Amino acid sequence: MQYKSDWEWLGIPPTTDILTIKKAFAAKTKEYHPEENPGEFMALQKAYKSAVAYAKSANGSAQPVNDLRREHMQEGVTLSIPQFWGTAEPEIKEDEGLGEDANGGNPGQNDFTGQAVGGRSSDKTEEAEDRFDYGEIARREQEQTEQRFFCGFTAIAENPNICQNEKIWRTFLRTEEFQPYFESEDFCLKFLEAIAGRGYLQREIAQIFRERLQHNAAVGAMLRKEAGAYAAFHPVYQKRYEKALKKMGRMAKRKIHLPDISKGSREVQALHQIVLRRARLSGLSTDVNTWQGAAQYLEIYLPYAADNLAKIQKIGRSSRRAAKMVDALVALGCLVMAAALVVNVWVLPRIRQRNSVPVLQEQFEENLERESLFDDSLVPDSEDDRYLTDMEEVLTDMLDRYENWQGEGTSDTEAI
Amino acid sequence: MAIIGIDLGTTNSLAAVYRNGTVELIPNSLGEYLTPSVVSFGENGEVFAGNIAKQMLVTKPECTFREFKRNMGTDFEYTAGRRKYRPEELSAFVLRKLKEDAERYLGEEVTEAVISVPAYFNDDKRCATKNAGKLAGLKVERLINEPSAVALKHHRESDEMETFLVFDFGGGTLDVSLVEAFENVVEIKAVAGDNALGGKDFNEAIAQEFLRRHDLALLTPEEEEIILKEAEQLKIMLSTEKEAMRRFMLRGREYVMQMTNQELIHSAVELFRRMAKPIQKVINDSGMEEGEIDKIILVGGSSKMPVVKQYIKSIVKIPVVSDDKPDESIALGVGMAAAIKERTGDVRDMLLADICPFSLGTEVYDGSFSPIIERNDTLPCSRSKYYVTVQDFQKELEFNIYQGENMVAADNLLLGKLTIKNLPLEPRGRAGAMATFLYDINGILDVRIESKNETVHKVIFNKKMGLSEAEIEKRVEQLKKQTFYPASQEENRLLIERAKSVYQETDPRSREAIANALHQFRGALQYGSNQQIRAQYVQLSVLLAAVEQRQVHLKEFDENFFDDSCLEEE
Repeated sequence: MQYKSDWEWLGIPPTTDILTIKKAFAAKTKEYHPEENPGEFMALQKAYKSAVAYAKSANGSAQPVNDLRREHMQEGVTLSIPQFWGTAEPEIKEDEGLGEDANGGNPGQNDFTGQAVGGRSSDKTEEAEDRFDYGEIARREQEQTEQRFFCGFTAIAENPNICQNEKIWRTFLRTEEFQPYFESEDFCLKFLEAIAGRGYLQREIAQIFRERLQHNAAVGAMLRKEAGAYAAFHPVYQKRYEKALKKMGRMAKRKIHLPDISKGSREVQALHQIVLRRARLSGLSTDVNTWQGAAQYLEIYLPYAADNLAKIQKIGRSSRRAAKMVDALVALGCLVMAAALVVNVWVLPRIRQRNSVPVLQEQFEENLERESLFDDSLVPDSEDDRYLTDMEEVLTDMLDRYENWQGEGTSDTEAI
Repeated sequence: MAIIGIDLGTTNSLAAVYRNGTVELIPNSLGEYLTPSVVSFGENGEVFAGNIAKQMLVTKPECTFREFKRNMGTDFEYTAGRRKYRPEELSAFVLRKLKEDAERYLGEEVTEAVISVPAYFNDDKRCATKNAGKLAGLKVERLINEPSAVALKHHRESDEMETFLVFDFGGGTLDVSLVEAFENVVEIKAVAGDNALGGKDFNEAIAQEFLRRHDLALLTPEEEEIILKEAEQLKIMLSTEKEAMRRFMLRGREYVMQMTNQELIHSAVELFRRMAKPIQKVINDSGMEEGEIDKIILVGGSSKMPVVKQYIKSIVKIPVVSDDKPDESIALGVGMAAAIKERTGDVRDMLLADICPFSLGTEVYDGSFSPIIERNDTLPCSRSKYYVTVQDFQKELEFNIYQGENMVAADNLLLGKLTIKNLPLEPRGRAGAMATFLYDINGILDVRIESKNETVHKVIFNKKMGLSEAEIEKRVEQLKKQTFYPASQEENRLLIERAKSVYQETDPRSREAIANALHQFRGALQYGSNQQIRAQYVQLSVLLAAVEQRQVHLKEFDENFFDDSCLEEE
């Protein structure tokens, strides 16, 4: 195929009129139908698309959505959740057109086209139908927002690479969409209980949570341990609050160094690297220790986490378990070494003592001599041997005399 | 040799053909256009597919299956007696039924078909659909996305330049497509959907509500089927009435299932939320604004429900239009697609520029997914990317090809692997290969990897889909042996099955009447003349209709109703 420019493919002179471009494309497809000429059709299509893009930019119309998002990100730190989750939530209006947002009146929130939030279809010319109330669905949406908060919370807390990162937590807690929730005591209680279960978080993080919770008057009073703080609550709630606050208090006071769980398994590291890489490829900041980096990390990470929460929880749990195991092994190793030390310094010497009693030189030689006395090859020259030969004579003499007496027949009662 | 278009739906299937300048639907052996996607097995190993099988859902739930479209592409096995079936085999029975009915209607052999699939079907499911066609004895080269089929049909009728959204809400799936149509071109700009959301979920919601209200639990399969069937009827009634009620027998007692449309909304809140998501996704992905879209077209059986229609109206500022024949539009569109493929008639110049609903790419060293063909790229599509080595003097590159959107490659669907060896020995990052992905309009992915020294080429055929070529051949032979119930007897058999099914769920007095009428019908079939058979047929049908409608109380039937003497004098 020879090279053709876009306009040559379309068979028209360059133009910014989209309608003309479309008509030209349509006409040319009869010549290059994909059923018969897939290759040429592809080239024609490419030409059509660039021509349209050219025309659109010349007319100055809206940019594609992806670019919009990136621009938005460079503006500020706090992003509304629609950006986080990659899509915007539709505004579900009740049929009476109340005019108020179902999500707590956030003027800055986008609907899915970026235009002002509108009502339902203006087509009222159809047959009169029953009007149904879809308010329940909007309410369920709201519940879902709460769920999303806790999902995000879990996703961050379970990821060893960022769970101790202050900037990430602050950015997350500052998200537009969640702000109204902090005014509800119920929500704060759930939040506290979620925190209380995460004893491995450092005290700086606990501090951040405290700060956020202070905004709620009642909870703030409880945190500051003011008198009568619990008065407004049902006893069951009181107990729960007390328990959760105590745990959080302990976290905040903790001074001992916690196990470093960011050096997790390969899977943990891999996921972290993938998120960073994606950020890098999109030309975004990858330094999670800056505000912008943190925000952009969350933007990529949270949608993934929403779909794969179970996997992330597993990773979190296993890396904490691994850290605990490493700790246990280290402790065991120390124990073994201590035991070895004790054994070497205290026990062994005692054993050695019993087996190595020293001997005097003369005694040692005397013993040697005594051993040689029982050797039969040596000539007897001791008194004992002479004694033995004397004894032999006496015995033979007695035997002779006895034989003599035998002839005379005397009684054997005669004592010798 | 005709090529037909088939809409293989979750609850109903249809076939269409392009003849004499228009697309027409093909009626089945009972004269209807809709053939239920239900398969059942008889005592003698015979297969029932369609209306008869649907009746047998109640009488023989243990060997009757439906909604297997949802399990296409999985290794799910259905057990009927001693034999096990995969979803594509059950689909194959339905396809074969359609094929035989088409051959009867057209008077010629049908060897090829274009089958529709939800736009959001992944590669496994598409493969399974093609296999089902093969098992049914049809050549299936092309699959067409359901909303694209609707777009084709709609544009052909209106022939204006417009941008519209197709909201296809069927028995088991939801597909939303954004279409731009002008002249002879129908261009799909974006798709989104939910493979597990359909009318049957509403049936289940109604059933759940009913169980909750009457505090019932621990049902046998037959009881469940009865309740679901009543729920479905209730749902259909709610499309035309404000409030609906069904009476039926369960465990010897009479129950009443009752609901208003508002209550329906209450019991199915989750379903409505899931309906909204694909719409917003499609609008986002296309980069368009609401104002640029001219209308939303509602198709699919489930979009007939007023609660659904109004809901859509309440969430978008776009005029909502209901398709005049929501059950049939897809099939008509597929029929046109078949004709376009053949390049016959005056549709030969029509062009359907469909898109790839998922991203296709490969895995890179850190486990992340590098897409080569992006989601919503127009087909046919060819894209290339250059990949390099990570280690010094690395000799080969292994490409694991995935389909999906997840940024972690392993979370996506693995399509195949390809390795290129003999790379030039160079420090890392300097040696590499160019990977070219070509995805054509038949949905076949062609991968070509070229390095300085050699080229590797592979057509990705989803081998892990349960059935290899050899196995398919074997199964085709096996399935051929299983014959359908003879079509000439079909009507009568259908009536008998229907009688049995109504009998199960009705009160004792009606049961008596049905039993009597059935007995007489059977007698006529065995010994009677055609006239008598016909007469009994009519009587039994009328009785069943009356019982089902609960409009006629039994005492209005008197002896005269069962008196046949008038007929015998003819």
